[in-house]
Amino acid sequence: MSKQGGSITRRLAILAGCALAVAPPALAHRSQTVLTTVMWNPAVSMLEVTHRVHNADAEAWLSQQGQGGGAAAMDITVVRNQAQMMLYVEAHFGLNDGGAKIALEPLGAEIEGEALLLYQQCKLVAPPKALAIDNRILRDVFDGQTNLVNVRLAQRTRTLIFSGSDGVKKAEGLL
Amino acid sequence: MKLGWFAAVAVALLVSGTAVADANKQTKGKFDDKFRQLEVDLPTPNTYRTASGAPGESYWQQQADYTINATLDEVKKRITATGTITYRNNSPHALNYIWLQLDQNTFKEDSVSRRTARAVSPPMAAVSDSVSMASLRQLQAYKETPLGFEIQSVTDGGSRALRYTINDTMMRIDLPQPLAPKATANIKLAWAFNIVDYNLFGGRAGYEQFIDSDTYTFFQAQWIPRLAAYTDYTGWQHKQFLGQGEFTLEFGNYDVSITAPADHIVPATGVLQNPNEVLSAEQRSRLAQARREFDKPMYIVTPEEALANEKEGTTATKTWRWKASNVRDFAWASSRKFIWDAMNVKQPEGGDVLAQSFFPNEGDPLWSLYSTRAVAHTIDVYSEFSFPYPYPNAISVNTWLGGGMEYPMISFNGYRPVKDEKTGKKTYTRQAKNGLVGVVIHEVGHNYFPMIVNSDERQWTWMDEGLNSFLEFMAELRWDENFPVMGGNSNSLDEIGSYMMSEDQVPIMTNSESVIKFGSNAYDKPAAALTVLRETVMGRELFDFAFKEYARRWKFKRPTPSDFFRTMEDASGTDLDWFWRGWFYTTDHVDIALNGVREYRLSTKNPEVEAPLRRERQDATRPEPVTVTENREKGLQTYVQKHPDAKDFYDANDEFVVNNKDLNDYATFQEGLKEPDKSAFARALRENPYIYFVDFENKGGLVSPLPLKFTFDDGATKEIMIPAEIWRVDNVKVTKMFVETKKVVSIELDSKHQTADAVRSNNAFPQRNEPSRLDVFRAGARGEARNQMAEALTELRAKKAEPDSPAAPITPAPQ
Repeated sequence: MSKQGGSITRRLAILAGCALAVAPPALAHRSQTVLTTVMWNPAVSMLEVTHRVHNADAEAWLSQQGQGGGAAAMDITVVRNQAQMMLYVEAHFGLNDGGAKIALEPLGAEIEGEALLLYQQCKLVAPPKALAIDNRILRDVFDGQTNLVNVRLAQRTRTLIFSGSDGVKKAEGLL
Repeated sequence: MKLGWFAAVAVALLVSGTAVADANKQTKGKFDDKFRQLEVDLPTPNTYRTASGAPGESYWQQQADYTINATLDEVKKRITATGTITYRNNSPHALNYIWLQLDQNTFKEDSVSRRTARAVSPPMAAVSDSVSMASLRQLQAYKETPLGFEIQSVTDGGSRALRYTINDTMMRIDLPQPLAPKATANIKLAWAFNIVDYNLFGGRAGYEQFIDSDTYTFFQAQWIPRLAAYTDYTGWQHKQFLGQGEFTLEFGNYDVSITAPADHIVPATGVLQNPNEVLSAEQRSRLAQARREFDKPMYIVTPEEALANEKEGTTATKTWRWKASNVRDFAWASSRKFIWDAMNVKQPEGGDVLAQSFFPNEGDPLWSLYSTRAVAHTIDVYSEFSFPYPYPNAISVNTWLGGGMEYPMISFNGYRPVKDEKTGKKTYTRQAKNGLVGVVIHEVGHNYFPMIVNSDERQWTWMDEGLNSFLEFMAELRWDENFPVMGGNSNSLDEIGSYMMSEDQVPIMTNSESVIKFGSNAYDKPAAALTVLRETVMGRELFDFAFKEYARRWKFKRPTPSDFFRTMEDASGTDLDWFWRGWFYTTDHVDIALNGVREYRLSTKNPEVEAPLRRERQDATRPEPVTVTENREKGLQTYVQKHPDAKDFYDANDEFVVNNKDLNDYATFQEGLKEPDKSAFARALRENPYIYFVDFENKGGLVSPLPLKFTFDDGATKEIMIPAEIWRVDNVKVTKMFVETKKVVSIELDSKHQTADAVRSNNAFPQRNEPSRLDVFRAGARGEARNQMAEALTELRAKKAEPDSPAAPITPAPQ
């Protein structure tokens, strides 16, 4: 399920009528997944984003960064490695509010059980009614990577799935 | 195609099916009876499957035995094989034709699977198109190597050619004359196929190349044209293999000879028949010793021997002969890279099992430590929940980096240590260890479901993946109490809520190929459901008995969902229709709100007692107006204070003063009380209880038991469980009365997180503010960690800006 390689995502290109993604069939055990939750916190007028990355996947990614340093360089409990992962996530996850990019700022990271939790936030006047979401986290690392994004800004919960060749997707009717 | 449409179809089909079958219709109002019986929606019981959920007196299943000779061409990465299938028709029907499954054909260029592959995964539409490098590599690889079965001959037992027709991943063989009930047909086949490169095509079998050492492991499954299932509930299994819905298979006996390079080690389903020919004397001696090891595994092939072996290579071959009885499939692996360890598992009931692992040096040190131990642990725990493991071997093979795949007696599993690219040193973390232990438990656990309890995976993924994930979680928590069974959490019920709240999901009882969010739907949600059923709804005693009864009833047989639902009810004496309906047939979630609590004391009706209490309550609820207080503090006097002569009866007596009418009414009340009410009222006055009316609202739709924790003013606590049946006549709002001897200061719903309640902010009285995860993080004692993170980010940003992924070279084509 896992190997090195680059993924491609083209900015708003149009390619008609062609099935490009031939995702490997799912195994009987789950493949790599990053679960992202986007929530609105009315108490602080904040859009809050949590990425849950399996520690083993994060460490596999770290091992490919060629930093040396032995086990410590691949240990995701090390804050510096979490920061490196945060920078990677910043480059591979984005939110767009009807034309304007939402500037997510990193809040921090922590380990919970078997997962690395990465937190981002953005102060907004009001929750967005729709979001364009780009999620390429670890999809350039694992071919079978399937990412889920749960968006819950009010009463409704919408889910987007990113796998194969998926590019930017839009979640509407959020409020 | 949008997911919304896709999901809606599935739900609409389900609902319309219900409407047709169910004579009950709510034609006035909107009441949805969540407790209406499921019998009208389940298949009618018959002599094959009873209303109790057991196999009926006329239950039958077919049998397919295989004798196969196969050769692995290591250089060409190709399998060639011949085989004879002996098919016994145990059905009461004459069969004009039989169907085989050609699952390798899913890789063919014109397969339904490939032609229906989507460019964008549902749900919701993409706003931009993109192509991954992996997709490009895969598309190119498809053109380079023809894939899928090459059927070379199909003949009967007398070597006469049989007419056959291939329909995508299935092949119909027309029989010269109908195969009568109890009759046997022999089909001879010759076939070949090119083995898929797992790194390119994924799937459930193939080969893996280790680029650094140019070495390989081969792991073969879906490599035989296998008999399609013919059943009492669907006739011939006729759903093509599209990649997601797995396999529907018949039990049988296998006699398989595999010719492979002479320096390969070949583990497989079954029992090795010729160890003297393929194993060294040293290996045979160690194997015999391993059968006496019950505490920890020992090597049959050591890491050093495997490393030396993989560097040599040979053109000579050896043939390994394996026999397996009463299995529904046969898989094998082959490599000169394999380390091999083993230990024996002694079962309280049933025979000994040799737990084994085969893995390349790349899997160590992790695999030597944990794989075989996890195999043994799986057998211990799963057998406790079901039946003794019936086969002599249980094998875990390392075939890839992540994930796993199950076959009878053998499973292909992932997780390896990571290697530092500069130092070359291998290390692993706790997370990688848990990953390996978890995947081995899961895949070896599949021996029970569906390899022995032979459910139809092509139709209902949850029947094996869901039940198996449930037992996996049980086994993991018996490995380590803090084992992160789901999403990093040791409590799956804290994790499943976010999935169950989403609008973008389908019911569990959706056909496998139409399931979206496969892992959450078919693995996690049913596992969470069974956890709720065991720990909260039924209790362990009833659940464990019924679950074991299901496993034992359907061991080596083919159950359907209704057989599971019915057995769990029949063996526990519990009507669970509401539970199956809510958890398996709908997309409701659990969100019960504790909306309000009202406290009462019993009224004595005696005005001498009650009037002062009413005055006290009024004083407590109506504080003196600020104006009055300020006036007094400034020394201002009221008019009547300045003019006492203006006072009268009303100034001396407030509205709570007891008058004669009140006393007369009380006397009338006492005279009117007759037995037994008089004694009951007198006793209640003596006990003087606190009476609470508690309001609950079902916001998520799924009815749920109400586990409540009361905390009293003296600090004592009390827990009670209100069964889900409290919702049976109103599944939206319900009020429950509690009578307590002490004053209650708080009530919490689901304090132990045992119902999968997805919204916890409305679960307590007095209401608690549930901070968001980020609120907790911001407020937590993690200031130092945050500062360290900020410093690291600043340093890393300064050092090197993180490059984006390689640019995507697709552009609109010229018009």
